[in-house]
Amino acid sequence: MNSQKKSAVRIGIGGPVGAGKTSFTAAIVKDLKKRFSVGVITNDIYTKEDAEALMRMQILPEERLIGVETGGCPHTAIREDASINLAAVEELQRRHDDLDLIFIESGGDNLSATFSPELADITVYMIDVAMGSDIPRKRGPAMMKSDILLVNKTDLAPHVDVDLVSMERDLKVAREDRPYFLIQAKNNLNIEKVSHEIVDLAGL
Amino acid sequence: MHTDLKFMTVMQWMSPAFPIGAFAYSHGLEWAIDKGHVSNGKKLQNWIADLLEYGSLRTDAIFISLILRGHDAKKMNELSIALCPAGERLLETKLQGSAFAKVIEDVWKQDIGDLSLPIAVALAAKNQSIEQNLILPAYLHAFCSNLVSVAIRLIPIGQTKGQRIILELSSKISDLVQSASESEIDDLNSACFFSDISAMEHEYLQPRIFKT
Repeated sequence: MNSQKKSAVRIGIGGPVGAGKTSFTAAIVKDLKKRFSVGVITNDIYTKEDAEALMRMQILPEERLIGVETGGCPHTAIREDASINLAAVEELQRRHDDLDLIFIESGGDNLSATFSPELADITVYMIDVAMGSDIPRKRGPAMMKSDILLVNKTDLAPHVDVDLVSMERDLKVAREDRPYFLIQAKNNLNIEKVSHEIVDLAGL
Repeated sequence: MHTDLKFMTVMQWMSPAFPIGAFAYSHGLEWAIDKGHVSNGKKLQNWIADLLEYGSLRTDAIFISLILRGHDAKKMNELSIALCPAGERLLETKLQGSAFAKVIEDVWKQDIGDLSLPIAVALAAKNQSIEQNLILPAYLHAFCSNLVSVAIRLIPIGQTKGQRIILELSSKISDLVQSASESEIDDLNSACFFSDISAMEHEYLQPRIFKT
């Protein structure tokens, strides 16, 4: 990479399929793009569906989005061999030399997935309450070590027999001093708090 | 360099763990599997055998051999890019070539430049005095294994059958190593039309999980 060029801070967003990563990316980018130059890379097994979803929601123009297919290996693409994502990062920076932030949305992971430090500067991991209140007790590297942990769809808690108070207690234990947020990406709940945390961690 | 050190270098470069993103490229095979043209182990084996005998793998092997016999890397790179029969073939050889060159630069401290995959591999091998009979079979074997892995994920076929297919292909790889080492620039040609068309069709395949 050209050393004269500004290097964007890269934020990896991981989490199981259906946790709401795309909805969260849409919500956070909508907030951050008011103040920063933002790009998004989505990893998905199905074509460029996530990237197109963000385009349809008019979150970002096409040239700020890249969809990456991972050959059915979403973990490998963010962890052992991130080269296809690194190529996408380089392509985004080539298109826009003023980028402050690049979000890299993973194609759907299990609790043991982690981002390569060569790909992501800041890692966000996301679960949702409908997966069950025992998820925080399962720990796993993503749950424990991500810079920010998000629990999405808290409005669903009463419908899926999840007690948010005890879930949060387990979260506190799993996370120790690291931040976590209870959010509703679709309803924009607590998204601004997450953006402040990201901006803070990114040193912007 | 001792032969065992050269052998380990080749093992490292051609390992699936070497980060060039090979797992994301199907070389058009995803389309052929999706449309039912490659639906079992036997058909997969024939498909890959044809690539070795008539198609892209034969061309790659000749390019690698030509570089190791002293042909100019820049000229050979231009020719290998020009011979890509489909947009996605160009994409996969350029992106993997760049990723390969980046690791060679970062780890081996050698700047080989931005090249197509076979030229990048050949030039890196030449710089380390690695001979054809080490790098060529390893390159072809790794490429074939990657395509078998695509089929294991997509058809699907079982892992044991996959290993049998790779074993069956070994003699074809060996034949190609021999013939490539005796080939000249005028021997560069390809006649694997259905595989080439699959690579073109893949560009419009929806949905898909592979980049190419």
